[in-house]
Amino acid sequence: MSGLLVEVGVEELPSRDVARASAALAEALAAAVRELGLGGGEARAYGTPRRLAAYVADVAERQAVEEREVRGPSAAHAYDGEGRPTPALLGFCRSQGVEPERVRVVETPGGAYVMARVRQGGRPARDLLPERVAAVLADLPFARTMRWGEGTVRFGRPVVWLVCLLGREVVPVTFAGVAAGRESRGHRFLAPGPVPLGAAEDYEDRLRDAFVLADRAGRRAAVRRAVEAAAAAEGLEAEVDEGLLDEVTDLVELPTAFVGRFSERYLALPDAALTTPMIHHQRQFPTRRREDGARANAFVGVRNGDTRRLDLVRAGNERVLAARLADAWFFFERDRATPLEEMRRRLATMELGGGLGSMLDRADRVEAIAAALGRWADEGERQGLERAAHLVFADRASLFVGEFPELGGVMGEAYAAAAGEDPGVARALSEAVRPRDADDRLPARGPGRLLALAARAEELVAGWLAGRAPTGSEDPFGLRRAALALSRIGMAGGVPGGLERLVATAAEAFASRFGADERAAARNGVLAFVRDRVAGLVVEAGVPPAVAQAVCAAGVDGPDGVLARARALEAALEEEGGDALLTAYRRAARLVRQAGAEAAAGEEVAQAAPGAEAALAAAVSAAEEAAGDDLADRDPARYFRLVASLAPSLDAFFRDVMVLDPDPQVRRRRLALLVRVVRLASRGADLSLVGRRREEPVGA
Amino acid sequence: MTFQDLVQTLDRFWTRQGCLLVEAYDTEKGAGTLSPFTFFRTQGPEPWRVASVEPSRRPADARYGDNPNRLYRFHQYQVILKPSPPQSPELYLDSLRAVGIEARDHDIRFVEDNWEAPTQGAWGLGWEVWLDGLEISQFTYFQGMAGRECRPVSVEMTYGLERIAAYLQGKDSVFDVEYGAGLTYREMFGDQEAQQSAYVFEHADPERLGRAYSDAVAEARALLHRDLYVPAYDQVLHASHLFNVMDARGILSVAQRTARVAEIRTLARHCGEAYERAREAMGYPLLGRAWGRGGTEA
Repeated sequence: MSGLLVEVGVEELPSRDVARASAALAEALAAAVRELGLGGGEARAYGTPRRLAAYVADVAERQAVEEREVRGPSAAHAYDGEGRPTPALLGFCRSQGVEPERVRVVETPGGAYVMARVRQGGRPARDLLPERVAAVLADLPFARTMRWGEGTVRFGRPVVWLVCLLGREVVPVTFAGVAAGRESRGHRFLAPGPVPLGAAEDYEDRLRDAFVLADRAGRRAAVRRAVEAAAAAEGLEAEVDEGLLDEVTDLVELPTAFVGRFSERYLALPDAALTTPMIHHQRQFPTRRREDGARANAFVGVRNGDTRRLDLVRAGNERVLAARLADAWFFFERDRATPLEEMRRRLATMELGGGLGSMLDRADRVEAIAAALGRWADEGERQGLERAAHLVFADRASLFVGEFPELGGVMGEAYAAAAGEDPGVARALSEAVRPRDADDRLPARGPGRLLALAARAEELVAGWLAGRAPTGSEDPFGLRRAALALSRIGMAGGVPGGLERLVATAAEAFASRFGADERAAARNGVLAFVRDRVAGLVVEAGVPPAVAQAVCAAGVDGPDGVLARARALEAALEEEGGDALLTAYRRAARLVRQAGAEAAAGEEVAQAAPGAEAALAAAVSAAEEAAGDDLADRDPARYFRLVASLAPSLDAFFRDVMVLDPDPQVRRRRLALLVRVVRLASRGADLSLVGRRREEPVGA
Repeated sequence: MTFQDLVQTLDRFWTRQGCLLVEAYDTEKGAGTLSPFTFFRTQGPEPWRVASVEPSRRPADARYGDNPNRLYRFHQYQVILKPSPPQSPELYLDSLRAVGIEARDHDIRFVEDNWEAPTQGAWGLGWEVWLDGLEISQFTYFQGMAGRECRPVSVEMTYGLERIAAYLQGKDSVFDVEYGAGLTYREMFGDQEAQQSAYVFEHADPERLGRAYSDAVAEARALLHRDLYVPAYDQVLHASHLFNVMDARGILSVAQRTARVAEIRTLARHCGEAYERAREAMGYPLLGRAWGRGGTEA
């Protein structure tokens, strides 16, 4: 048993590829070893910007030998009249690698057949591995792959060297025109020469000697420690953004942290305007003062290397950040001298394309939609809405947001506050862009939340009207994200007036640009798309997909009740009687559907015949009364129990009563009763979508 | 090291690597990649090695000479190696050493940068190269040019000469860089920056710009009918520049913008196709020629 090491050395990989590709390498290598019958123990993944590597422990030098019986041709076909082997037998023996005289004839229930005892396996790992290792490397996942030189192989970045060791022996793998050896490389600048490895087990230690921390988790921890320690040494606390930590981890092989400074005057910038250039542009960690937690005029940078001439590195980083902050300051000053109304007017020069008009038209539309939302929202939430809605996109015309588009809304708040607007109004402008992505928090209850809803509804309807709706995996205008944001906000805090009314209002805001048919199509398209997103979020919350679909099909107009309704239905189906509920519902629904127009017409309430029909009629009336208009939303658990409680009466009804009676009046009366059952049961979910696997399909 | 010392050092370094040293192409362009010595020669199977300083015009980055880092016209040092040799990053780092940047003393990073030039139908993968946090170069393996896959792949190294010079001279503004003979960058180019900025932001006449653009496009089309891809491509470059001016002037709607990008891309692709046909008809004369190395350095 030996350890197997594979390392592929590359020109610098994109940081986002390192973790995924190295984990995939370890997993695929362990699987290959197992499938080749070479055993294999624990697998470890290594990854840096310049290498992907994996180590699999306890790999056998040779496959185990197996003996087994293989059946050949029938005895009648295996030997001729003289008892000599036929070509059929000789062919079989060749294919199995056995001599014809070593096979025997065995009686089986299907007749007499030739059987051979075949030895399998026993091949050395060094013969088996090269092809499989090359295949594993060819299959690694990268966000994008490329070719280089005259080669045709695709990889994340050009392949430079290859190491493949089984214990102390080189396994002769070739990949992308590079033959494997035992020489790795160290840090690009600190140990540029070859790093010979005696054995697979030496990998991590030899690389550490060559200034490379190959273990990603260990390197990530080292970056964090270095950043925190560097900050602490100067009385600072580093703000370690996890995403930035991941990125920095995969930009360095050996981290050394340093503290850089910038002019205190920039502390007057809005905080995000200060931290965005640091984090997103320079990959530096912002800091706070330890004594009072206030923002400090310092950052922590991480160098790929040791402490040599760290002064140069620090000075360079300080100079670049200073230039960026000088730019930011220049924009900030210029913007603050521009009244918000003036900025808003400038939105007219920003074209949206697709017949949607300018950004100013968009601002006007969102203002109108927000005004409608305000009428339906409660007093507390709409405080300041009118003013905030008027200013909602003004900052998009600012110089700052032109330079840092990701700060739209955040700068709006800063400029509104600086202009003396009400703090609640200013706050609403930055809340309105939340959630920016799946990890962002939702807007707090208030005018910002209403603006967030209005802006997303406008964006979605605009997308559909302009023919920009997402198709398959293509979503160049980010409408899936907008729909997810709308869904999350609605599910968490509700939509005043209901989702359908919101989207309809948004569609009406385009009345001067698009015809009624186009608007109706866009409205329906958006609603269906948002319904699917809500269903997706319900599934993410742990509800089975069919249940989520069923609940959403009954409507997501009040998105805040959907998850509770889905959980209640899930519970109801698991309870005693859940299956009976579905079965009874389906029979009722099928009859109603088959009866078609007759069932639809049968609204008359006539005296039910005594017995099961009267019992069901009484049960339905009682349930309808108990359900009222809104029980499905108010108390979904009780609602579904109520629907389920109809199952016994329905069963008895189907057992004892012939629904499709020859007398049309009786028939209509009974169908009318079933229509009421179906209506009541459909308020909370479309039950025909649940549990189809176990049950016969509805209306087949 | 003055600006011109920097250029001369890079010239010496890359001629040692067997690069032809050509003069900048004499039509306005937004980046060195647009030079015919890059655009055409990175297409098709023939080998190629070239280096040149390419003045590049970026109307949208014009700042009247007020901003320490932004310029209407700046200088790229453009290197093309085709096919891309093994260890191209090491070659690049050697060139930095030649200009006095010892990697060991700094923090040099290769940060992912996926490059795309829609008007050229060009795309590639590579890096921004950072020197102590400052982006000083772009390093790209061309995957496609003029809408077709590159086979073999060329590597392009583009140095931001102003930034590197400012770094080497410890200047916070590129305008304070010594160009040579005791003159600063501002003394050399200050009036250019101020006047070109005034032109693109204030005085460029939208109607005349539109006409000039349309004429250039029409001329390119007419020339392409005769397979005259060299003058046709000049017209494409001219149209691209006029497009950039219109864009900076803020007179293009999104729809117009999209349409013109598509128009230029189509013309560039046709130029590329005409070039490819012509080289094929000639039997790819440079194919298999041993590419000379060294010898030109004094």
